[in-house]
Amino acid sequence: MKANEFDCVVIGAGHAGIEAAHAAAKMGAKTALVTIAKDGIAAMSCNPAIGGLAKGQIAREVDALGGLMGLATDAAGLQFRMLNRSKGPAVQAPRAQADKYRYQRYMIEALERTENLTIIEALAGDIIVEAGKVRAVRCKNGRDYAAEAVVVATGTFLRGLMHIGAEQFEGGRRGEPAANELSASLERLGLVVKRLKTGTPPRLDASTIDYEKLEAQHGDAEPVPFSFMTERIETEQIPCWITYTNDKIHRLLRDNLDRAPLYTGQIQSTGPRYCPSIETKIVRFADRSRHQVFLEPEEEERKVIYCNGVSTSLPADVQDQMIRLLPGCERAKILHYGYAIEYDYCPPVQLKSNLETKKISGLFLAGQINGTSGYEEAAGQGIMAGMNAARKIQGAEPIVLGRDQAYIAVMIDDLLTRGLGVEPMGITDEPYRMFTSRAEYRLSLRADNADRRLTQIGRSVGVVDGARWAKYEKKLCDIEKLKNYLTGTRIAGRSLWEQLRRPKNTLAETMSDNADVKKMSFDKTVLEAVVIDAKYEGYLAKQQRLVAGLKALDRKGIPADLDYDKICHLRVEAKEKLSVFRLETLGQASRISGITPADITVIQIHLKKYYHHRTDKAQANG
Amino acid sequence: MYRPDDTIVAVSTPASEKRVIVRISGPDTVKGVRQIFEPPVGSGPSSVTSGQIVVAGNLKLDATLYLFKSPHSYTGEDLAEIHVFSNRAVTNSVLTSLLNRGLRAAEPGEFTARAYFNNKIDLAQAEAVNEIITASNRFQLNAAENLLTGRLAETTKRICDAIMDCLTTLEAGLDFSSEDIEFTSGAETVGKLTAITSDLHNLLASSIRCESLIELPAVGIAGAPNAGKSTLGNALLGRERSIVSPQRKTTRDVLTAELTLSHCRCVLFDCAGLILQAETILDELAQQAAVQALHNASVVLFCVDIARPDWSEDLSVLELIEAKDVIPVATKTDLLLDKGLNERLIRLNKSFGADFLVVSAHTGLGLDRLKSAIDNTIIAATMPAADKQRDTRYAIRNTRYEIALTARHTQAVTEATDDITQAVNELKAGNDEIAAMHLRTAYQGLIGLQQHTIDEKILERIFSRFCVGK
Repeated sequence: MKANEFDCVVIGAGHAGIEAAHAAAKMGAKTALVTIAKDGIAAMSCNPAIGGLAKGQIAREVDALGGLMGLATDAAGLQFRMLNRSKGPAVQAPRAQADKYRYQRYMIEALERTENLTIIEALAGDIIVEAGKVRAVRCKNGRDYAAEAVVVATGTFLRGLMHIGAEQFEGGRRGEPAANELSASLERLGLVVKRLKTGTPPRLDASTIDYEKLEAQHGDAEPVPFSFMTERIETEQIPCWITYTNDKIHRLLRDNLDRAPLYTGQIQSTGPRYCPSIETKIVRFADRSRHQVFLEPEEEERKVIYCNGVSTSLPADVQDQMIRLLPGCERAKILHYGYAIEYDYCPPVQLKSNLETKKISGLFLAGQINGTSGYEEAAGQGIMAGMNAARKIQGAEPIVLGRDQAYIAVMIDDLLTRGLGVEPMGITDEPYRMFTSRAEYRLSLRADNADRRLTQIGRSVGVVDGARWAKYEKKLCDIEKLKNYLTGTRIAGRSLWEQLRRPKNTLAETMSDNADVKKMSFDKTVLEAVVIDAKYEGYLAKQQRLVAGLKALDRKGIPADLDYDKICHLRVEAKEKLSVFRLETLGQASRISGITPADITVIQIHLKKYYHHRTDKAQANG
Repeated sequence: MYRPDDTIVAVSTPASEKRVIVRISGPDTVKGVRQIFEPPVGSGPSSVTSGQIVVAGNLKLDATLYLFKSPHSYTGEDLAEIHVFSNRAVTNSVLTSLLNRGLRAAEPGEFTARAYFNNKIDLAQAEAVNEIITASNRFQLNAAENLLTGRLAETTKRICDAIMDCLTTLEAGLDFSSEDIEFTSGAETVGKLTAITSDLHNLLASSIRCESLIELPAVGIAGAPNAGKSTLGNALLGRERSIVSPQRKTTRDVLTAELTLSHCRCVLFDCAGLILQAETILDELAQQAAVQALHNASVVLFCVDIARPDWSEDLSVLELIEAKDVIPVATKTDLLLDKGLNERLIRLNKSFGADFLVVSAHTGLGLDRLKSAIDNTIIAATMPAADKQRDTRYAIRNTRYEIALTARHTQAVTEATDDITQAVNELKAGNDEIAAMHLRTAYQGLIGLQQHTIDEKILERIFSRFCVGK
């Protein structure tokens, strides 16, 4: 193979791109990771934190599949917290502040260590396609990198346009150029490209903040690692600080709304409802007298503080005044102003379940280009796209996870069926973010059992290495052993397992004191897994009832070339929607808003006829 | 949606037949049958079994079970048909007990759809199914529109809004607990949910069952042999339905026909004359059928031949009739002269301690009065208990209780009540994520929405109510 010939080229080395490149390379595909600048690899363009509710579950899933995100977080974490500790284990999730530079360094080293992986510093300009199949990526350095599969993971770089007040400048993020030509290339390939908006808050000089005036938020006394491979976190935990906006700030912002790009019409695209700018917050929730602001360190040396809660695109002078009115920040100096960024994305209705575009064979999209937000959402798609790119090259079946298997699958299925960027749908076109409420199998999609859900799959495709597999097998075996002990040991006519299952049992807390259990010296993750399994076991049947019938429909495929117009009795609205979405399974089709159960039955009857004809034809030709 | 993996049930009553067919299809068919049919059927090959259907815990009715094992059935799955001579009370009870045990009420055309998917019928037939589904879908839409203007929709919507309100708070607490939001306290949510449960209880208590409107009430004609029952039936119907002859025991089987009255319709049936001591097996069977049919009747017309010299036989068979509403009818009055008639009527009323209606099938005397008596009795019986005391005409026009629930509605409301009760328990135990699941189930069951629509609704509400996003 020549130097410029690869199996797989990944464009963009953000949180999606690195997982994609790493997974593909692990699976034996000769992979190139094309990035504008090597020191931008794994950059945290926004919040210097990984995880959070629902996102922490995704980070664990990426780790369970053999990805890098969890390991990097454990290596770079500054403050670890398990969120929702007071709530049930299904909705608990890890979150960590991370030293953004250490995180990058870890990732760069990990990628450099990965066999079959080459990092190329170049700006991708064009995707070369022949006969509907991806052939190569043409870069601005004049080189073509041939590939059978290409993963585009360009984040906010496609025609990125930043706004600070009336000022507008092109760029993928602060200090980096936009990728304008690649957008045009995707459009030439026939992909529909639309705009989304997101924003970031100002960064402060850490040495100019009066910490005495602030409330500290500390990490957990016993930090819980992200990765199933990490035994314990030993880095010293550092605090974040909390302050609040006030009337004066709200008045200032209100007085300057006529200079806010979001309200002057300068920004047309929609921002996310779950992460509004401070100017949006004071307009939409005018009755609130204050909003919480977290001051979060971006790196261990604590030179830069991320101002979580005041994302804004107001002009620089207003940002200066706002920060000076913030308690504890009266003397604070802004190092980088907050900005809003508009960027191109490809409405994800153009994707198949393996994240490959329907139009171009071998072209995969992952991360923000699919209309998502968040590092974890990006990483989740990245690892799936990388795996599926490699599978495609191997000529193997795609890996498509079910909604009952992973948050990652819930996300991809939602992207395919909810209609982000599809005109007649009338849903809010905002970047997609994961929430636990999106997962109908929430009680089984947990942070604690991500390994039991996914490591086997990661192993079977080749992303999970021997060390992880061995550790996993040991854990599985121990869980089995402990469960056997519990079901086999009866006290007062009831097995310990039954006792554990009962609400308000004390066994959950005292199990580690049990002499027999002590003797078997299980890891505490084993005890935890068994206790949680017992807690939820009785509820899984009910969870199943909530989604009854869904799984069977998910197994029923729809031919890619099905002509919905030809299905007699199908309602016009259903024909129109299904022709736009062109989904792969009846389960997916049933999840489009406005598609009724009767529509699905009518299609099923038609499909049966369709397959009959097909078989007839095949026999006639054969 | 066509779901191939569960077990469905439907109850059908062939037109103008006093017979109900309970049809069950799917993997749990045998399990379902065992819940309601004795003797318990094995898992062997297809079979026909005579036995009994067990209703409402202790009531047993003779029934015939046809069990067809997959793939040798109409649907290609395990399929059972239970044929039972019975009425709406039994239908409701059987349906409810099967639905409560995890079977699902079949969608329109679903048995046929299954037949098609399992290669039991051909494409042309399937196209017809398509039409049925589309047509019934349209019908359902109309029905849904009707319901929208009705009180049921209004009530469920109000209850669902209240559930969604609690769910929003709960979900916001799960997904946005780290935000600076003032969450409603658990106790407050428990209070709201408890109020919802009592709303649902009230809904059930104050509603009448749809089936009781749709499935016609049964009116039985009873009496000693040769009391003129069949003649009376024919006169009421205005046509020949029973074979009438002067010989005793002419009518051996239960014969039925539909009768239209001024305010309602009903099914009129007459059966073998009641005797205390059966002489032959044939008599015995006819007696069983008659007693059973009369037992399930809404109204019984008890006929006595007024011209008879002695009514002791009539008095003794009256003991066999257990129906709530009995209208005593004096028949064959055309055989007596006016004066004699009056005298005998006074004696008759005295002997039975009742007010007999005087009719003659031959002259038509008293038939209209009898019809309106049947009419009033049925209307009074279909009203909810609370309204029993009131004037019947007024109550039927007063729509206070006019929320009609089908078996499916009733099931949904009952299950939702149960779901919310469980949610309250879990909330009290601090298991918010499990409580949320119960509430979603309740909401989904009541409003018939799919899961993903609920997610969007919840998020929509959270974003509009709370300022989230650091």
